[in-house]
Amino acid sequence: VEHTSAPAGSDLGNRNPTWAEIRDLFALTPGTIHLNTGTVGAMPYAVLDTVDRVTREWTGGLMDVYPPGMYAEHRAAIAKAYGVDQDEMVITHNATEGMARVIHGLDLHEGDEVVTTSHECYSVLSNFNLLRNRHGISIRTVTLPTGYDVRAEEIVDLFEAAITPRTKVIAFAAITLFTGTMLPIRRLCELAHRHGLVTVIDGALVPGMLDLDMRATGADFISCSGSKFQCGPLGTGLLYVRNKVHPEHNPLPLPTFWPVISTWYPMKGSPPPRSTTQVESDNMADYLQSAGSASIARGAALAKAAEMWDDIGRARIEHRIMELAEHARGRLAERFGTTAMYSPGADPRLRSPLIAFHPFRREEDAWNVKKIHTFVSRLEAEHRIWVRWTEFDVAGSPHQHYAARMTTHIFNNHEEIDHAIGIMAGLAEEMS
Amino acid sequence: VTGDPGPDRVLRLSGPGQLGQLDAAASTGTSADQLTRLFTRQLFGYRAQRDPRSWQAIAPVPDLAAEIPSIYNAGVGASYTSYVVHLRPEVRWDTTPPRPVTTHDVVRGLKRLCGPVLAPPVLPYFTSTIRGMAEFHEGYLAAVSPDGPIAEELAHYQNSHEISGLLVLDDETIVFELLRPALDLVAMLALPGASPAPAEYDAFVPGSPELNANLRSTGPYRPIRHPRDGWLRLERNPVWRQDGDPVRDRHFDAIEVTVADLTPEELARRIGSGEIDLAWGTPALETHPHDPDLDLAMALDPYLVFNTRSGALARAEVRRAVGYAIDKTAIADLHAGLGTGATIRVASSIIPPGNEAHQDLDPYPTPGDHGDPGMCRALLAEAGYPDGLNLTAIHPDTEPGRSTARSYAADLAKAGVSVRLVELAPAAYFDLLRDPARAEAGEWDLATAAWAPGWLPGNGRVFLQPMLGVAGANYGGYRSPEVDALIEQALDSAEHPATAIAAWRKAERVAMSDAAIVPLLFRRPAVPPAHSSRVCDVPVVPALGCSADLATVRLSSLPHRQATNWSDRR
Repeated sequence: VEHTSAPAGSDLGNRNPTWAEIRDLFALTPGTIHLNTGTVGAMPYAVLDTVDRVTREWTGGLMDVYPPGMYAEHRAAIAKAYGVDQDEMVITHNATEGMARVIHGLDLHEGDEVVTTSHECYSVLSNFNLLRNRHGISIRTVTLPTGYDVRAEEIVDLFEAAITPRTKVIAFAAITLFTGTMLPIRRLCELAHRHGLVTVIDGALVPGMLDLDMRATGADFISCSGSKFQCGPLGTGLLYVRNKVHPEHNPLPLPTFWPVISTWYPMKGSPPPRSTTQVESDNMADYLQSAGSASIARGAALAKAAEMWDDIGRARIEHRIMELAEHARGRLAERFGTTAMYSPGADPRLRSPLIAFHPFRREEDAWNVKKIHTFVSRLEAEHRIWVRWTEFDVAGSPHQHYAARMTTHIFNNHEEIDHAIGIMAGLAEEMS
Repeated sequence: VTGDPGPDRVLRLSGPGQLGQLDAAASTGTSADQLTRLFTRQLFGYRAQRDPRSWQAIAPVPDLAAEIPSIYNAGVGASYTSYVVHLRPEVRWDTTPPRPVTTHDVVRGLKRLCGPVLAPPVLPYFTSTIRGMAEFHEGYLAAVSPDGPIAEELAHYQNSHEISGLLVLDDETIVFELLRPALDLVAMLALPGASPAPAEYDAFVPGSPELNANLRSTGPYRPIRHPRDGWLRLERNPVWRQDGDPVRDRHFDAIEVTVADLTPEELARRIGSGEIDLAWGTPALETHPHDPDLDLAMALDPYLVFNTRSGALARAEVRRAVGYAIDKTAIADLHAGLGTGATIRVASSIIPPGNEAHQDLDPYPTPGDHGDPGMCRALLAEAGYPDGLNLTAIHPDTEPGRSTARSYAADLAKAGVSVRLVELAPAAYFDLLRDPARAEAGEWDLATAAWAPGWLPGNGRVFLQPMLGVAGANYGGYRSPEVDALIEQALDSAEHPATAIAAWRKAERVAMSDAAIVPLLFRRPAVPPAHSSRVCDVPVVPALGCSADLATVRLSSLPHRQATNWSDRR
């Protein structure tokens, strides 16, 4: 891979770069089409350089490595980009770690119930299962609807029907990794508010994709990846923990929360009572952030990526990503038909830049793991096109379904999307 | 250690075990499984460990499969209702010419379980789990007469009907689609009964003498001589490759098994003299039991089976009365007296210690577990039998079978119940026990049987589903809609272990309340079993009743004549 240093002019400065110029900022493997940001993004050269530079700066000296490991400034900057405060933002190792620390920090007891979906990341389901085994909670799992014509109301209704008097938490992905369904986040949070529930959101795909006001979602917790759409280094993540009460966004009191894995949680006594107002009573994010020594370079590099996004403009980025996704969705619908789509399309509220589809003619190939695996492998080996395949339940079907999933990001362009979809159509035809 | 093995490299076994049935699909959890392990392979299996307490001794590993399905290899989805299994390449049948084992052979193996001939006790595990297998089974029974079916008929049904939950993607990959989430599918597919079957088996009735004379091998050995006259020799399978088998080794040129009705004392003498290396079918006298506190799961062995299909024992109140009479301590003493080194406890519940959902349960306590003939007599009177009963008890013609039957018959006599004992050769005994029509005809009232866990851990279903559910090992034909519903509830609760365990326990309490059976003893064999000084490292397989793993037992480095004489160590 020949991308070890930034090309000339890679600094954005105060310019308003074109998308072609922005594409050049990324350390993309030459000759490939990267349509798999749903798994991992591509780092900009400046981020790579930050990792390298800061690692060297903090190697071999007698400096106090603990304060910078709290990432106080980085967290403040990143928090601001998402409409929240530093006391609510944690830089984690990844979305899984953040989700695990949230799930195990919830004040759940035997008999309490969590409503979630079968389309969650395994790390979400496994951590809730651990909690079930440990504390005797129960988990109600709904299977999200799939297909082009799914509407947001169906999803909200599904969750609402699953809530019982014992439900304490609803947990869902902001955007599902299997079918790329953008869940109606605000509406689900409002549903939770009406039932007095804690909301836990797997936001792995959110940072770097959406220009999101996290507070305005009304969620209690959002755990995110830093290495997918935000294009930070692998091993970076963000965690939003609601730490004050803004009734217009979430009128519920702050949930009892135990910041597991913490150096700064008091060794004796308790932290102050949680705030009931818009002013924090404590820095919950600090408790979570303080977990021994940290990779200073990792946090700095993630902050650099976030800074670049701020420079380009997050609204502009979201618009570009979605515009490319709509272009891809249209092309895929032309080539494969809307009936081949597992991702929603008719309801714009549910669209995301992750598009999952069934590439083959025969319906039964949708549950042929080997065929979809071959399809994706051949795209990579023969055409240097990176997509991935996903597997998930489909309501009412006895089969585990498999789909090809492509993802658009700002380093993609219309030409390569068209080219890739053309290749995919040809290969699917050949394999059908 | 593979030093000088002495005069030859033949492992010799002898004892009262049976050789008449080596079709793995007919497995009933008996000593035959020790042998079928040598020439059949399953998708998953167990690598025997020197210390059976090791988690690795009970953790399935890939055998014919390339890997254990998991979320990490996309082998299992989040719902645990779809398992993808890829076969290991280059495993071949010892056919002429050798032919790869394919997913079609896997399907054929499972279809063979469903036919009208074998009625394997493990079948309910599969029919309640794999989508479409129950329907395939029912259709099979309806389509083919159980009386003297011919191989052609059976093969025709199997080859013209599919199990909808088995998706063969190609020769190497198969998907198991389940009716409901199951966390024990891999363990089920490690059972001997789940062995793949080659196309050649279509020419034979499952379990028939002809099939037994034409067994094919995927393992390190293969049967060379038809198991007649109580003798079997397995020789090296030239097609087998060690590098393609993570479960089995091959340290001998041949393995010879001789059926002989020998007492534990005589077996110990022959092992001590080096005439044989291991006992077959029953443990040898064990004067140095190893680690009696070994914390391994126990078997229910034996238990008293009531024929609930006919006669007085169809009524729960009569069964409860009969159960009260039995002096379990006497039976325990009797078995302990055999000196096999087994750990034995009086049983008062169905699920033995060490297995999931075991509970301390004793709904019919008697002082010192010696039985209460007076209570039996009183309850019989209440049930309308003030003058007692006449019952027929069948038992196998082995010493433990004979003495156990005599013991409980004597107990029942004290309560006014006259028991006629009928001794049968083991094969005939099990044929009778497993024939519902003969039970309905009242050919027997009482029998004894045993059941050992086919896998560990997470084995809640292992005892109750086959012993109390439809078919399986429910020899007495006990039926209870309440127990059936609880079994379904437990099976539906795989994702909620606490709920499943509660349902299994309740099912056990209901069945015990109905006196579906009478648990007699919990048992765990001595580990490792007594063996000659020619061999060392006798690992056992907990999932095969802690029997010696003949595939990995090794020759001792000590020359035969210099080895310490077993009898000298007494």
